[in-house]
Amino acid sequence: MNDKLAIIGTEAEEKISGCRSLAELEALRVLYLGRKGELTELLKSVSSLPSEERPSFGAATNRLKARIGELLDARKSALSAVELESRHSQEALDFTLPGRQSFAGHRHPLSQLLEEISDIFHGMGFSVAEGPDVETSWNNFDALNTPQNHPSRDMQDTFYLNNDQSLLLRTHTSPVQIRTMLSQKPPVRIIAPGRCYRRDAIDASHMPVFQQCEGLYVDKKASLADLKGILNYFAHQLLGEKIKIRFRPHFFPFTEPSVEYDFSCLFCGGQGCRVCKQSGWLEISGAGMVDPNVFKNVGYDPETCQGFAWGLGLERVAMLRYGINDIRLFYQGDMRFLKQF
Amino acid sequence: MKITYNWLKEFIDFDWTVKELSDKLTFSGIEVEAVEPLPDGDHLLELEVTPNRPDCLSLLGIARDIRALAGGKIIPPDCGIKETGPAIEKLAKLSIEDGAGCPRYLARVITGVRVAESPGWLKAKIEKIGLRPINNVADVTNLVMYELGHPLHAFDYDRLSDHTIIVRRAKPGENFTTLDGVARKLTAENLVIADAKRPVALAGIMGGLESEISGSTKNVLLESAYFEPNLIRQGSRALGLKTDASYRFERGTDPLILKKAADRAAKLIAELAGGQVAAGVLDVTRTEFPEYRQLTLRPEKASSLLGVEIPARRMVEILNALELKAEISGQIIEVQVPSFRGDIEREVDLIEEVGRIFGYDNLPGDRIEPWSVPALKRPKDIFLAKVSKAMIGQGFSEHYGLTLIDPGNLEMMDLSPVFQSRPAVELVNPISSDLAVLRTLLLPGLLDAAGKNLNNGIPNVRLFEMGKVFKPQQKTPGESLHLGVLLCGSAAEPSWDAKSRAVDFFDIKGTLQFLLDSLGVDTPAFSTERIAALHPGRSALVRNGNKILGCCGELNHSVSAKMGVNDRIYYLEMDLEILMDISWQRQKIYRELPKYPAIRRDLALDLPARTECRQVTELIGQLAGGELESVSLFDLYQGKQIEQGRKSMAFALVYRASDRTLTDAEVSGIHQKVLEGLKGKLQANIR
Repeated sequence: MNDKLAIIGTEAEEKISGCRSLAELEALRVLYLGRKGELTELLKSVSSLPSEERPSFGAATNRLKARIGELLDARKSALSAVELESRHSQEALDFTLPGRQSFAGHRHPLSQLLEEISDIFHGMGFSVAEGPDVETSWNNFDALNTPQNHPSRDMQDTFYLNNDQSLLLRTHTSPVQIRTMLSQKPPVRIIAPGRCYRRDAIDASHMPVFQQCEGLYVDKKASLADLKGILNYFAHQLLGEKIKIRFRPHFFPFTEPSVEYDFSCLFCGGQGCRVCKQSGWLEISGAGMVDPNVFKNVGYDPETCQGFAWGLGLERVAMLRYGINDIRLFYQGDMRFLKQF
Repeated sequence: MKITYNWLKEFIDFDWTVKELSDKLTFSGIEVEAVEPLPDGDHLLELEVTPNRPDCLSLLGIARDIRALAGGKIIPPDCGIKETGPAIEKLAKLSIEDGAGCPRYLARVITGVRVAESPGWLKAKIEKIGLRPINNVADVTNLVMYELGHPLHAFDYDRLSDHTIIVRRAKPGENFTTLDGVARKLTAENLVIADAKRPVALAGIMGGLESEISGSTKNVLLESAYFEPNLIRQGSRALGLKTDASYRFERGTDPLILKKAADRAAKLIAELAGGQVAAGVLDVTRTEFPEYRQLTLRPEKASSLLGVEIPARRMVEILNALELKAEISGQIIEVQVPSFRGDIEREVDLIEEVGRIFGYDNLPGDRIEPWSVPALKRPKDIFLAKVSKAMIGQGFSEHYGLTLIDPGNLEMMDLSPVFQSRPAVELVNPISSDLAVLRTLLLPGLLDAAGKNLNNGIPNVRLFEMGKVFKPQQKTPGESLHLGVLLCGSAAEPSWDAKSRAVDFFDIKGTLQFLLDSLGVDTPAFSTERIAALHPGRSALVRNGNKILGCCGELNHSVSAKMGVNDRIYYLEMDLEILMDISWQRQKIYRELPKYPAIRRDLALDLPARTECRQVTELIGQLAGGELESVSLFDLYQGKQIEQGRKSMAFALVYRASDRTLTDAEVSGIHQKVLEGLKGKLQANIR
């Protein structure tokens, strides 16, 4: 009997090591260890042995069984690895084929910009205020210290909705400042985004419809230096800390003192290039200390409060930031344009 | 205004280079827009003078600003005059009829002049700044205008009927030919200078052809007047006539410089053209102008407004250099503002003068008042961000359409009865007929954009816009916020291994369902409705409860064809404000995940072709009762394999109980009930 065991053992060892596939290996498992396998059959014949030999024979059979099991497992993992390898190599793809994508939607560059601007000013305590596109002449002009005879009130420059010129399409978002100040007491900290209208013929740098995001801060001591600080912080957040800001004195009816503010050129860092016309600076918009007449018009006392306002053209900033040279692109819905943002 | 560097140096000694001068002027309020080197080594400077600074429309005015910045001494032009002629009163008469329009008028007479070409130095000077030399009288008046900022006019004295000057309004319909040879019909709005018979000049704007200085002129009457700025501006605009003179008068000239300017010009005319200056001047003053306006400046207020401490002594220094006579008086500064600075009327105007000369570069720029709390975001902005996120997530790009549109498109683009496209708010003065009304819908803008994309060879257009639309109302137009979504082309990005199908109604419907789902709003109800601009069989009204949200469907082909679009366009327009209201009422609340397993049973039905999907699902819902978790269509067939007039629909029914595991027998019982109900009520055959 023990000889038989030895023969089975040797034979199994040879067969297992020579096995070339998992299926063949499974057949060997059945052959040796299965319910009707050789070793099981052998164990069944234990009863024919003298009783004193039975335990040692049983133990030897079980040892062999365990050994064959180990050999089978080891061979299986070796064969699995080989098989997997071959499957993988058969399944290799041309990974340079294009990936499948679903349609990608893009937010309008001006919306993205406005969101960034709002976030920056939210962080500084400014909330968003809005007003209608159709405004009264009083809110758009008179309250902002722009008298009847001011050239900007001309039919040539402003769209009117009635012949007595009392209703118009706002020419800036400044009437939102008026509406806000009429409805609340200082302190006021707002940004006012929205569409504005001017009677400009459409070309690469003019649209009759465009967007602004103005700001207003009125408190007890808000000063021109604070305005500079805020615009400086804003420029750093939006365009990077290398951006510098400067003021040039200017004139607007609704602010006194008035300035125009410039950012150092985003493209050349102030060295001078084509975009900044070699000056190193880019004109951004106007700003200044709210004129006392404006305060009087909204019932604020210019002796107890002071503050500043600034303008910002969204298209202008977006054009500078992305190097866009035609303002019309913002309003054409050209998918090739929108997809770039 | 154009000046030259060398000419400016005749008025003030400073040692800045051209570049330094440009920078200093730009940063103190007079922007140097361009610098051009001239052949003779001089430089031409193009200045942008803001409308509040007419005093700087002169070399003398700019010299004053330079003195404030750099110190130095002003060299005033020589106005010393020799009056060798007869008394002027014997030569001419002057009266002002419109004292409001012309508060002051002053005249000089120079007799026996010889009008000729100007000497070389004078011609060169005015040619450099772009003026055309005319003769030695006209050139002098131009020269003095640039020197002192005051426009003058020279009349041919012998052409003035009765040697009389009358300042009056034009008579309605009065004819007058200006220097430029244009015959003009005047109105009572026009202020004119007239002689005894007729107008001889448009006051402050342009002289007349007939009284122009010519080669035969022997005697000259020189006008130096102050006109009311608004009247000149209106007159100039009404006539469409802008001149160097009107440019200055409408901004406000110095009412007290009249004699000085007349003297300077008379002196130069006598020098260059010969002749004698008549003794004295004719000077009618209807409004007295004080030499100074008295203002006070609180240094403390100035520092507070500018945000930087500037010593009172420095402020006084700046103001004095600008010829604003300033003196410290206790805690305040007393300032006397001369007549040439009409723009300085208040303390804050003085503060600006101090600030701009002090230099805004010297303001700290790194200081921010700390605020502890960021502002709250508006719920509206949060809502709009959600909408835009949902749309972008579905592959739509955001469009900004123009708010001004072509009224011609509105008739066919009507979305009645959901949204009326007409009437629209009209502009009184549009720039063109295609931008003449305010949009009532977003459809025209989106369709226009789709057409352009298709023309550019981009077949898959997926655009959305969130924007205002306008409706005429009693007083002011109503403004509301709409969402427009436009879809055409393939349902998926083109791929190399699969052909993608074209989009259809169910894509736009699905887009809407996804959007509402992401806003937490219940699935809306769609109902058939004939909507003007949409395909009658493929359009639906979208409703949430009893509120109409908007409409969606395939665009009526006649509408798209008119816009040059042949593709099938799917469109959705909604009132975002209504949607916003609904979404605010919804709060997302967590429902516990199921504890017990579900059993799915499929159901293939053969139904009359007209049966709506909703009828079937609603009936299944009623029949199955509480244990039905969901029912969904997974196949639809209509064609050869099935009897005509019938269609096949396959539904997946998922049964689940929330408190126990359903048994097979239980489900079979319910399912059987469903089958029988469908057979009976919808003439369905079970396949």
